[in-house]
Amino acid sequence: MLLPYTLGLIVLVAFPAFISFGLAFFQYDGLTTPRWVGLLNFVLVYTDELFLLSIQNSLALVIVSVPLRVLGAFVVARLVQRNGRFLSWFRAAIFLPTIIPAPAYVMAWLWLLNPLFGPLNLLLRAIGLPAPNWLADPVWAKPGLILIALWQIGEGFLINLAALQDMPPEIENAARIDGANSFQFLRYITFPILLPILLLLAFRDAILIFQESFTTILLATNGGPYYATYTLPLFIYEQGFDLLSFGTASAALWVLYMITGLVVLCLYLIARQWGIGTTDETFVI
Amino acid sequence: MRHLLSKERWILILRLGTTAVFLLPLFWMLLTALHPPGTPLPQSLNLWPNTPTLNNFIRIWQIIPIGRFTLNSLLVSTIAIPLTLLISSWAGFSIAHLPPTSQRRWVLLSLALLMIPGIALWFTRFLLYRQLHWLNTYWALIVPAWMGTTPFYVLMFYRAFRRIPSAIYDAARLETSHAFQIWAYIAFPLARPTALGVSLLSLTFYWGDFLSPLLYLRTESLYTLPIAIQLLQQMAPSDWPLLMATAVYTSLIPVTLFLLTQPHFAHLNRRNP
Amino acid sequence: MRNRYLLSQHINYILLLLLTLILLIACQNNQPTTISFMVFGDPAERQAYLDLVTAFQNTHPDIRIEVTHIPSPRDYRTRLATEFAAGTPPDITLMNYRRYAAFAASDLLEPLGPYLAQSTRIQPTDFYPITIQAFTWQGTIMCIPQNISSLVVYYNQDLFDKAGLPYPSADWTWDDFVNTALVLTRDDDGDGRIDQYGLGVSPSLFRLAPFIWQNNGPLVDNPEHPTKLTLTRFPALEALQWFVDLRQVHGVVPDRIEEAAQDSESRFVAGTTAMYLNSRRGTPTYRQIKTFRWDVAPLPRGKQAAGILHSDAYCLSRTAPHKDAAWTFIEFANSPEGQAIIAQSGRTVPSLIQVAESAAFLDPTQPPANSQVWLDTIPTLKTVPVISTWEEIEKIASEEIERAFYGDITAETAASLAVTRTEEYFFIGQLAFPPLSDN
Repeated sequence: MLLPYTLGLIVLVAFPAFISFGLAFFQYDGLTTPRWVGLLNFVLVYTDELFLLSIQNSLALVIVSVPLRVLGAFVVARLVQRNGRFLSWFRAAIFLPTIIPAPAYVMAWLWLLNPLFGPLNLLLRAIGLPAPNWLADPVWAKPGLILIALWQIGEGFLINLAALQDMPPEIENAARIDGANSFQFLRYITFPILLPILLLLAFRDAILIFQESFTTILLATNGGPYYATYTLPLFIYEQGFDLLSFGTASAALWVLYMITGLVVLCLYLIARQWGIGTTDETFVI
Repeated sequence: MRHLLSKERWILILRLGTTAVFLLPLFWMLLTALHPPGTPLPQSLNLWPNTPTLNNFIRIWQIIPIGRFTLNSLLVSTIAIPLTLLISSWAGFSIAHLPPTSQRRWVLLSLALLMIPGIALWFTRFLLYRQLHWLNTYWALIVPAWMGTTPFYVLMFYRAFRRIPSAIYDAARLETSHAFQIWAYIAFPLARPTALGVSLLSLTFYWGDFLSPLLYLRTESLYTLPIAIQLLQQMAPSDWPLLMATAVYTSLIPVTLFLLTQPHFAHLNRRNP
Repeated sequence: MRNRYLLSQHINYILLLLLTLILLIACQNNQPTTISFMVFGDPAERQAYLDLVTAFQNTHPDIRIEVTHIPSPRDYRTRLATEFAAGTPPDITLMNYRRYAAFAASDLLEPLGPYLAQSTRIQPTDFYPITIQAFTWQGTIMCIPQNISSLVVYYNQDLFDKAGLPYPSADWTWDDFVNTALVLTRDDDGDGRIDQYGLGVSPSLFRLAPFIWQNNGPLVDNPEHPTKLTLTRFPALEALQWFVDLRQVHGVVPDRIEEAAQDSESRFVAGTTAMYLNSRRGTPTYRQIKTFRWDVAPLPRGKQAAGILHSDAYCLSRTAPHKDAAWTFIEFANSPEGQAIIAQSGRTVPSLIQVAESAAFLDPTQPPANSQVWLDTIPTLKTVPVISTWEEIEKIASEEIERAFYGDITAETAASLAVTRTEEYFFIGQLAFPPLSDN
């Protein structure tokens, strides 16, 4: 019963990944036979200023939005963890933006962030705050994208919620008796217990953002204004699907593989450290 | 006691506030969709249109074959979701019954594969699909279901199946030795909340999948709803009521299904299922 | 154990459903022999091509034409490139003369010159010569041009009347143009924000080019063998400065923020922009305008009159399986009958002289009343160079022009950045496929 999954992984993930690894050494346009060019693609790509810029932009997006998303998911999950009225509806409402199909969601935000007519800026002006020009402004385009990413945190929210629910209530009761206040409890008990999960989530989110941001960027900014939101996926998309230069696209992918490799390594270390996958209690993802 | 009461009230207010923040974008989206077309864009915070209209939803039909796109989306989802359930639950079930060291290996492998970004596979999958003549067919959209869509779902099922007390499995083994039957009659029914969760998540995935049709489909009659949004955006970049109506329309089915099944999720996160 | 039976039943149903659906999918791939035809354009344009296909189908029931429609010309090349890579290119493609060279250079197009030479319905001499020239690659006619459009000024007659301005004359100048735009740029409610702009124009190399020519400047160093843009040379730089000043000095066009909030074309259609620069492409959409009257005027003239050719052609894929059937459609589309159908939709300025001068194009009952403008402009039309990397060159140069237009950098900086950044693409374009100097 494990067979279809294994086969699927091999054909749809392992094999394509392997091919793209090798394609980096060929010149290939999908039409003529591939031609061995050695390291030429790497030289071309790694001297391309746009490529370097795209990595910078990608990293900037990930570094800012991932902690915000993971912490946001944690805080929100903590808020609706314990019983109360309409609890399941609160949870549903928080999850709802995640259900919206990505292009529809991007379209909604494109309207919300419209610099002149968008409801968000109307609101900001109404309460006397400066209304930035968001996606139309080279400086504010990235914050705009990060803002868009902050609402769809349903998956992280659920995982945090499950992890919080998994904590035995006795711990909290014991801590209360010892006189710990809420903050102390959070800081010294909840947080350490949840740390591996938050870290796992952060890594997964980093990879996810790399990818998800592409849809947003393609529909909302197309890399602009003036390359302010030009990211690695966009570079790879242009190389692969616009210029049909699969070789250079593969060479660019190597960076991604290196990042992924690092992430997987960290993951493995974390997993070993906390014994994830062996014990039941902390296993959530 | 008054102190406690006010704290509870505070939490309620916080919860209401947070919820409002999460719902606000969707609320604005809905309001704009009801704005009559052709009139100047609303320039005040009084976003409720003077003459709310459903006209925008009709206009979508006049501009693009949205009915066809909806059918395509439905078709893809109705094949991909059951297939995802089948394959990811089989895999999760099998992993849960491997010896502990293999279990650990599979879990870590799945976790690692989860980390491979989809971008890395875009064009090699394109070349693969071309070789298999899957380009420009529904297969290109459905085929991820073959690996359970994402290892994440496999892990979700793995978690659920592990939590079923071993006594239940042992009792089942007395009746039948067939792993498939244990899965079908015992394990899968017990993991229903997880199945529901996976269905919903994969619905979100397939219904909102913008990249696969963008990269692998060419023929308009095969397009799914996410592409419809892009088409309309390119045709009418400033027609916000129309675009918002399309956004609302494409969200309709997943949101409705989510709200209908929502009560069942209350159980999903309890410690013991 | 009721549950058990319930579930096993369910599984049967689900498997059955799956199987049926899979079979359905398997069947739908069996299509009859068809010719695929890819076009771009907005909904009104799309309808025009559907009408053309219907008319063709009436007389040729044996050939089925399947239309694929891509809304955005910017996406068009990506889609087309991917189709070729997928090994399933559309048999017939509508391509602009700025874009086909990349495909011709990769040997992906079937030259149509020989087909045209044998045709009994159409001759090369039936077309305006400049359109045939634009689609001549390495001495061979590659594609059959459908139109000879050019950049003109669409204007809102009601706004001119309201401001008490006369409609643009046929020989208006740059100064007339700017002054008109200034009068039509208005802040009606006095809140400090402009409510009505005099002009809308997208800040791109393609829009700027005719003004460079009008200022006696060349666009590239050598039109036959271009090796770089000449934006930094005086006549071109002066034109660029004038173009940038429309925004930076006169403020008659929306700034970046306002353009992002609502694009100029939407503003023109909504009646809040008085003049909009566009080719004939805009006409089908503007014909749906109910709220005001509009017409077209020629571009203002600088030191000399000059216009810029906008032309699309029907190209045939090298790998098309049924080339003769495809040619039958291309021939029909570019026969007087076919071109008249597209012309009536307002989409094209027909490339067939006979159709362009007929009522199909000059229909006095349909706006714009002054369609003659396009025909009068023809003698002054120029083309951008046809090289395989032109699209990249245009994209990069436009990025810099846009930055100058919106005030991020000066016109000089933009010009020199555009020149240096595009140089390598001229090199690549020249290296692989030097165009023949045949004229």
